[in-house]
Amino acid sequence: MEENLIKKIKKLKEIEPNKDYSQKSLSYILNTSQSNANKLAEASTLWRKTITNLKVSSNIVIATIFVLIICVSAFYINSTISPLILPGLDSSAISAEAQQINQSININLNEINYYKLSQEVTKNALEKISTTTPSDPSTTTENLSNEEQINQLLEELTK
Amino acid sequence: MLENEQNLIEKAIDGDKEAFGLLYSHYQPQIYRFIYIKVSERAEAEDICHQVFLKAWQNIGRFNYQKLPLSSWLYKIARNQIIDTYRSKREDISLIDVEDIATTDHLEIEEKIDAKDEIEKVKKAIEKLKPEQQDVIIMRYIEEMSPKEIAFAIGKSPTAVRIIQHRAIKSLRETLGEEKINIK
Repeated sequence: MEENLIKKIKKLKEIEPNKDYSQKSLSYILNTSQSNANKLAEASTLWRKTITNLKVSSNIVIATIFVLIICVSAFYINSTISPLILPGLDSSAISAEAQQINQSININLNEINYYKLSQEVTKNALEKISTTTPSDPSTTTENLSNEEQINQLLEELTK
Repeated sequence: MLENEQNLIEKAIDGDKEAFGLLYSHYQPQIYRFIYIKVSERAEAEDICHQVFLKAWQNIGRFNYQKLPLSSWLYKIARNQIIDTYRSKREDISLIDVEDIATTDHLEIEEKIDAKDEIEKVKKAIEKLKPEQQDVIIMRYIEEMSPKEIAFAIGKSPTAVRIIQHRAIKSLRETLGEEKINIK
């Protein structure tokens, strides 16, 4: 029922204006000048366009500033908080630290060798002294010379 | 909507007659139809339609195409022009006279239509509707405008337009149903 009614209403679309009338009306309209109000409105349209353009350019500026802020923030985060530059993960720092430890181990080994050598020298010297008897004054001098020898040997080791 | 309508409007605002001519050719038949169905007199419809496009030409710079389509703006002018015309001529013309003149004036057009009686009945049924119901029915079903475009033209919300449309269809159905009973 409703569809049928709408079909009937749509048939009214066949009503058309007289072509002669339409042409005459248009030519009469176009021969009249546009009002001053229209020119004022034209100026306001121009103003509206300028405002719109300004809005667009300000949006671009805001977007650029926003992108710059993001870039600077990303750079800052990368240079301070990034896990790639944590001291625990820096390979050059690790190798430097390892070298330092290695050097200290070498120093300790040298010290051990030194103590070992000095112990042997001392032992030999003491054995030598114990085998000789202090019967006369010459042996005392000999003892003294042995002491000097020990001192000399110790000095050489410390050099 | 016309292709490059915005461009044509901008040219018309600058005083380009050809651009306005194209807009006129596109919109004048539907505005004329709208006015004719409402006033039911050919000469009156032609006068009002002429006034509508004269005002459109003279004030097109005031039209803001970002806010509403040109068709809605033209319908708005047409509605106001019809109200102004009726306000000044109400005392001279009675409704019966208008109906009689309309029947004779559009005889040549109606002869071309197969079911001319039916069309005349529908037209008369539309004339019996409230003015805003007439507007909605013409714009929605004859000119196939969207509820949003109609809303712009009549200054109501799209929801209000749908409600008016529903009521108008109901009234039309009742009127046409009554007529059928009367004919029988």
